[in-house]
Amino acid sequence: MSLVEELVLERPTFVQRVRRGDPLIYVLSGILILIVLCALFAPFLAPYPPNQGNILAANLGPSSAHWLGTDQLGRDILSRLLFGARLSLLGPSLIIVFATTFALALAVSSVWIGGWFDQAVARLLDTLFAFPGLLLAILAVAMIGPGLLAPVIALTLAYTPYIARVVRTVVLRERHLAYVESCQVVGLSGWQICFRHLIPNVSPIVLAQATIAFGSALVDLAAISYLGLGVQPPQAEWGLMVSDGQSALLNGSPWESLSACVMIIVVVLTVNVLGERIALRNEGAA
Amino acid sequence: MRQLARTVVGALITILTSSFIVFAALSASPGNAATILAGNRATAKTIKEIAHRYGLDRPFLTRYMHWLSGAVHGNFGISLQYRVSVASLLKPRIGSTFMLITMAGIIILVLGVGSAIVATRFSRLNMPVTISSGLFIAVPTFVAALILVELFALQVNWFPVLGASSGSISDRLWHLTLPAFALALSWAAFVAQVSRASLRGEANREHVQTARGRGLTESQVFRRHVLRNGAIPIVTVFGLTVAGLVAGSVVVEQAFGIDGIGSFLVQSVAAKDTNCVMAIALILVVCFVVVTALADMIYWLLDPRVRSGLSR
Repeated sequence: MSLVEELVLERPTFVQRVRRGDPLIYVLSGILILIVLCALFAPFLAPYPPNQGNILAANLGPSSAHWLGTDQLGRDILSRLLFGARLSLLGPSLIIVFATTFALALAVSSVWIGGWFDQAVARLLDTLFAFPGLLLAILAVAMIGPGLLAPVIALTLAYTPYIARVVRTVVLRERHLAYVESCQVVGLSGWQICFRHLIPNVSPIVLAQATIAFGSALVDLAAISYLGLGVQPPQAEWGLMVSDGQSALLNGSPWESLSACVMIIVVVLTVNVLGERIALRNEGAA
Repeated sequence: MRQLARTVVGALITILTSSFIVFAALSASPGNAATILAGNRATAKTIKEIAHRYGLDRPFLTRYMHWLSGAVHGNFGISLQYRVSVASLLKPRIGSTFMLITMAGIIILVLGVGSAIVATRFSRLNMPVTISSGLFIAVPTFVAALILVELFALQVNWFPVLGASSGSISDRLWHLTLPAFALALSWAAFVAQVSRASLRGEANREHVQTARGRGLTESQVFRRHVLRNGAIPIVTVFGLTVAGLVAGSVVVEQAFGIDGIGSFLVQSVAAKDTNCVMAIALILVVCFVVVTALADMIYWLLDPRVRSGLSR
């Protein structure tokens, strides 16, 4: 065991491998971290409490008192945008953490065990893949009731095959590389090889796929809230804010809807490009 | 022929399995159908009577078989919300949804594949197409809907704000233009990216160089050699896209107030009208499966290697 570690070349750390000297990755991660910090410190950053409204000051445009104006109940849009980041990011994060874990477990075990198990998993993933996550989420709401729980469970189910398919092909390629065999010759158990060598080696690709999936999950979840089936008022969430501000938009004050739209686009765009960049950087080196 | 039979049987099995899952999931949902049908002030006895009258007290499998055989004949039971047959509620709504999805599909084909072709033929346009498709792919359907309304219905009065219209065909198309574009935008960008990658990959292959060397004109090379081979992944992705459009139509219909089956699904979920939800879910599942199977078959027609069983 110790012999192996001494002989093996030094492995770059996870963070080193993910970046591989791409400046865009630094910039995009910076934007994401900034948004997450805004969400975490919303109570300190927001100029007003998110649910405090003055009905006499409704649908105002941007001013020095309200940087992004007020919504139809006179609540400060900037404050609601900051607080809304919490639920808007929490939901997709949960989905992606669970889906990635399941996907990795399914992909690695099916490749490792092979045979009928591999076939069964592949068939299961193909069947699940056929159904759009949004529809699955709506049906889950019909079953469990409105809120975040039902869509999060449904979208976890929907995104597992989405991630697993890509991970499976990468793991399959990795499985037949010489180092896996040499680990076996040295006498490492399957668990040790998978957890210490195989999974760390495929992790950048997994991260890339999970990052891109995060964007889609955010869109699906916001759409559910937009339809009135997810996060319920008066809580702040971006999808809900888009639908909340729709009547104001039709009456000439588009600030609430448009600012929430911009936040969604910014996050999805950042995450998409970041995921693609990470994947590109690690294509040959998985 | 064997391939064809396998696709059809696979599709039927998927439809059967998902119909069972839909029924099992929703018939066990809170807000028992009999309780809703009986109304607020019903006694336990009336609830029981109603459950008996509609066969809700029979065993689960019997109810499932009954529902499925009804569904095959287009009978989905009665709506818990409106007390009329589900089929009579769905019939007038299916038309709008179908028109919306068809329009969006055409827009996606023209814009998505078109821009990919343009980007491959004229390398100067490659960058703009790449950037704009990368941007539009990040715009969710409902966001696109609001931005299009703000730009084209409020800032300049080119299109109506709401998609509801019962007039002539041309008037309906007119009202559906903005919704169709909202629905199509991000999918068109997705199709553009996939098509561009596929066409570019094909354009660099050796057989294309050979064709050029044989003295064919550039447009002949493109049509016969690049487009024909590059179309195979595009077809696969387009099948996936249409399935996504069916789900996305739910959001667009809600955003523009179009009275289609998508917005009716949301309304039925909110009202706990399980009979309507099950019916729409089943219809949508059948749509997906049929679209996916069709894409499989076209793939099979386009790719002679798959047909003769050389690959796979």
